[in-house]
Amino acid sequence: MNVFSKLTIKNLKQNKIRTFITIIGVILSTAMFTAVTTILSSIQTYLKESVIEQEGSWQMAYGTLTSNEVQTVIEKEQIQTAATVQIQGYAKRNEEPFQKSYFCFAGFSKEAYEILNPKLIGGRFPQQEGEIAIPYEMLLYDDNAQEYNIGQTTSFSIGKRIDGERLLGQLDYYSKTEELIDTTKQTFTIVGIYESLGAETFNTVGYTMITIPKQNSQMPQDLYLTVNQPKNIFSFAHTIALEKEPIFHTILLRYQGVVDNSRFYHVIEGLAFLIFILITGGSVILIYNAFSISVSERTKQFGLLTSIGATKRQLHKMIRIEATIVGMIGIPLGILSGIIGIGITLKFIGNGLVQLVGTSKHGMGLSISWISILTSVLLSSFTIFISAWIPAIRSGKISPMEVIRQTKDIRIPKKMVKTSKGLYNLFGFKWVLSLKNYRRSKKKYKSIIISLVLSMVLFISASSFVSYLNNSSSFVLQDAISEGDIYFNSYNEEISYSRLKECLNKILQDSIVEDGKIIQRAILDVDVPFELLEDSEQAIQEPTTTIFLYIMENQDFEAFMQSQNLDPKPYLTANQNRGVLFDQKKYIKNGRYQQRKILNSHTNLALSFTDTFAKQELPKLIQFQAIENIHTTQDILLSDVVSTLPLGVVGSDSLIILLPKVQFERFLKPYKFSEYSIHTRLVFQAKDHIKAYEEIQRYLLENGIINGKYGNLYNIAQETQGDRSTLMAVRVLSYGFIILITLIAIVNVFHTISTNISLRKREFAMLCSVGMTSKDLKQVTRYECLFCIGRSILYGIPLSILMDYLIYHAISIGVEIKMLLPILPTLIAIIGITFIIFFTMWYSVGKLNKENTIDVLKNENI
Amino acid sequence: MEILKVENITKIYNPNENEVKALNGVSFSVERGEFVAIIGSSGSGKSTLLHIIGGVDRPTSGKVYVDGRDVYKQSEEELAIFRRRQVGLIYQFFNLIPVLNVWENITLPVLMDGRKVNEEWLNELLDILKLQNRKSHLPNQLSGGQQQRVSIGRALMNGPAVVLADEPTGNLDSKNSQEIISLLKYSNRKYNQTLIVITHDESIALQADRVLAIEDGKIIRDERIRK
Ligand SMILES: Nc1ncnc2c1ncn2[C@@H]1O[C@H](COP(=O)(O)OP(=O)(O)O)[C@@H](O)[C@H]1O
Ligand SMILES: [Mg+2]
Repeated sequence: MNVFSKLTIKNLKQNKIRTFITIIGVILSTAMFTAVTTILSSIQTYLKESVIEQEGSWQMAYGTLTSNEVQTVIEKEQIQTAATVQIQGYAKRNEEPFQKSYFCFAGFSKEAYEILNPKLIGGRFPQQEGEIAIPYEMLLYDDNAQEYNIGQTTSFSIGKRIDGERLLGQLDYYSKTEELIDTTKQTFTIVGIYESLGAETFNTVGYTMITIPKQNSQMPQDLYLTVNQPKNIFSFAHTIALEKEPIFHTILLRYQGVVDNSRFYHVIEGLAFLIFILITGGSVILIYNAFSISVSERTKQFGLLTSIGATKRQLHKMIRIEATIVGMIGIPLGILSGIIGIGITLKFIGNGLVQLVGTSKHGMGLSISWISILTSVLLSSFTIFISAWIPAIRSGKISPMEVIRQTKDIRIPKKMVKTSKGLYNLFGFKWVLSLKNYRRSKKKYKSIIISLVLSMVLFISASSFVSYLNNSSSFVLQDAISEGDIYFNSYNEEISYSRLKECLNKILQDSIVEDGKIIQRAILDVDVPFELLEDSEQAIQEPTTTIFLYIMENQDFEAFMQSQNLDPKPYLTANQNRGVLFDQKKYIKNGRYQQRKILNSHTNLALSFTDTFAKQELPKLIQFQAIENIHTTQDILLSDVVSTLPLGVVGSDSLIILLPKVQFERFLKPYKFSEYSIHTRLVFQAKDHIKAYEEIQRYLLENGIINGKYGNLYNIAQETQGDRSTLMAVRVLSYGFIILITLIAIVNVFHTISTNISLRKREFAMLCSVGMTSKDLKQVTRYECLFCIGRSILYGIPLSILMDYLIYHAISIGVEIKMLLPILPTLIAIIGITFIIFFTMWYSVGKLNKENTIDVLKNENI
Repeated sequence: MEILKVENITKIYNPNENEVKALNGVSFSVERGEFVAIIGSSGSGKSTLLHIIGGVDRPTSGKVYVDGRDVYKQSEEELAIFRRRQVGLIYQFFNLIPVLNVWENITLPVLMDGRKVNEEWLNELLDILKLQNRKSHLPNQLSGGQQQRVSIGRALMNGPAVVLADEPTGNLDSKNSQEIISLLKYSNRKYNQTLIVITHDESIALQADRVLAIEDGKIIRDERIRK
């Protein structure tokens, strides 16, 4: 081994703690770089995959080509997959020019299914002529949706769209002067319903009805392509000598990094940029400090080496070797821990992150891209290199002689020597000495103060960033309120209760769903006397109270009552109308859920409809004196109170009354509920809720119940899980961030101070040799600490408030939020800094005292 | 034969403010194998002169020739190599590298040159310096005299034409001092090296071939004691 490498390694070994801390610093910053770049690349991969899932993987397309033209394109070797879609013709759907005025009959080749990625959600894809699969969107927006269900046979007048001479296809926009000609009647059977066809965007003129391609036909074809080298897609497109211009799948190309990515980075600009600056700033300072310290600690060594003939190049090489060693240990470990950290984080909160970025059915996985790793390696190496280089250059400016004599360290500028006698008398010798020390070594203290101020600013900004996030209302989440995993809420009277019940039974029989219930909900506005309300102030603002009536199947009601140890019999058989009351209001305060009661009494309550029918007033909540006063036919006696709710009933900020179906039929049927205040709900429980959701959707669809049109199917399990993990995501990321930043800050300060002290060895030795005790010495350094802390606070607080304002400003663009002064983090920072400084001083001076100070003067080894 | 020639050297520190004229027109020349002692009161410019001869500190004006070569006409790189091969510097404070052991400290100039250590020569040196069984000790495990012998070993390792010592015994007791001087004299005679020693110690100065006295940056006396 080369003597310089050897010397470097020995130096590193000698200063174990400093080396260790430097490596920790490199690990921390590399880990943070890696974490950031890996998250970015995971987000990018996720976005790419969801685009492919929703819109297909095609990268460019040509509309309405002839077979010959298709042939000339697909012969090119740059093409990876070529998919043809035969445009068999158009049928008029409506006369509105821009709202899907046509049905487009399109023969899909095998490749077209592959790269356009239509997803079947009911039935199957066509297998023979005369069969079609229709888009789900059409069912949602078409008033005649019932006509287009699986198994239905419909005939269409199919012809060509032309605009003058020009034949138009799916990729051509609607033209005012276009016509449909040569129409012939054809009959098709609907065999399937599919979702998401990427090429069919909002503004294509017709819904794509997927058929099988006709053999040996000269029909025009749309051509969808993926290429081997997406990077060269535009130049490749130029080489194709067709009159038609291709269109490009720009969103996908953007996420594949072909098209300018800046829009993508705009999404994460703002805050992410601030975070990045904080991390980079912290890391650069950390690593820079580590090296400048390591170099200045050895200026004397460098001086000596110079005097016995080392060239500058050799000295720089030594610093490079040190940087390389530190980098070779720190960078791989940093990358590894960054990836592991992010991997674990994404495993637990990937779903939540998805909701921060967008929405999709699948969560976000870890995506390690070589580019992102390379970026962090380069960033870290660059930081290390720069950090090692600058001090090396600086040390090169000092001549070896000065270094050997240490004249630079000892010489005292004239103006500093003057100190008035008054000062001594006023503050005592030690104060004055430390003040002079402080002033004299302003330059050296500058590095401590810069480091302290930056650490303080880093810590405070990171904390205020987190508290802003936690305070913005968008992160206050619903907690899980119901055991149901999937709900179908039907608002539409067209779908009758019995039809839904039938459907439920079928689903329970045939699918993986484990349990399911049907339940009806009616919303009533009710008069509640003030004296019954717990919070009468609120009552003045809202004169009526809302009550949710839940109507359960009789046997479900019975089972529920039994599970609550209550007797269901009177409800099902008695002559008296009865209901069960649930009174727990949930509300959000300080970002947390709170619970309280709405009514102050739960005894002798009844919901009276007496005047409702006679005088057309609202139903009333009454507290009766004697049970005899209750009208058996017009009042609902609230004879039991429960504190848990049955499957399918969701707690809210309103009173809830549970009734068995039999009561509803007998008593409330005549009450005219407004059209929107009553709906039927199917509730399902399933372990694999994602698969169950798809199955349920399919069952409903095949029974003519279109999700999104006649009601909405919710995957509550996924939503709450997603919400919870979003919150987790924010917390984990932000606290992880604070912890890392704090570590960096601590390491930074420790570094600067401990070196500073060890550099002053000689000065301390001198003070000792003139009779200062080590106790005095400690006191002097303590006072110096106080000067440092004072200075740091002086600069740190205004800077932190400025950062706080910048973060506030960035967040307030998106979320309404109040500016918070980071008082607590500031206090923590001040206390923390004080602690760190004193600890470090104590440590360094202690270490210094272990060596015999006078020896330092006498036995002048470097 | 003339090995060293100093021509009208001037050295001014802090040329702008607080100007210090450390050397003021110093000229002399030294024959190969000569042992020269430099004496003078503290602050008279002795160390400055020695460093300028050794190629460590640049003169403000004037010229230094070693073996006929103009020292300060060389590039930084050549100057470093000159220091490494032609000059051996010894300090009052031994200036050893604390993380390297005796063997490594002594061979440093050779290793820095990227050459192989001449084991025979090293062993001879270690014998002369009586450091054979201290080879793998670290500097802080040695006495002051031993440390100074290590720094002498380092200075002699490359077989320099000129050995320069700045108060090499200033930090040692009289027994150790005499031992060090004897070593230097031995090497001076045996290898026909030129030896220049700064000293306050009259008994040491009297052992030299020639004594230069410096005062206020000027040579005030140049005395040949023996031939
Ligand atoms: N780096 C320096 N900057 C300013 N003045 C210096 C420096 N080095 C030496 N001097 C001054 O130059 C003069 C000669 O110093 P030096 O050669 O060390 O004397 P000696 O070795 O004879 O005691 C002294 O006045 C000293 O203060
Ligand atoms: Mg001197």
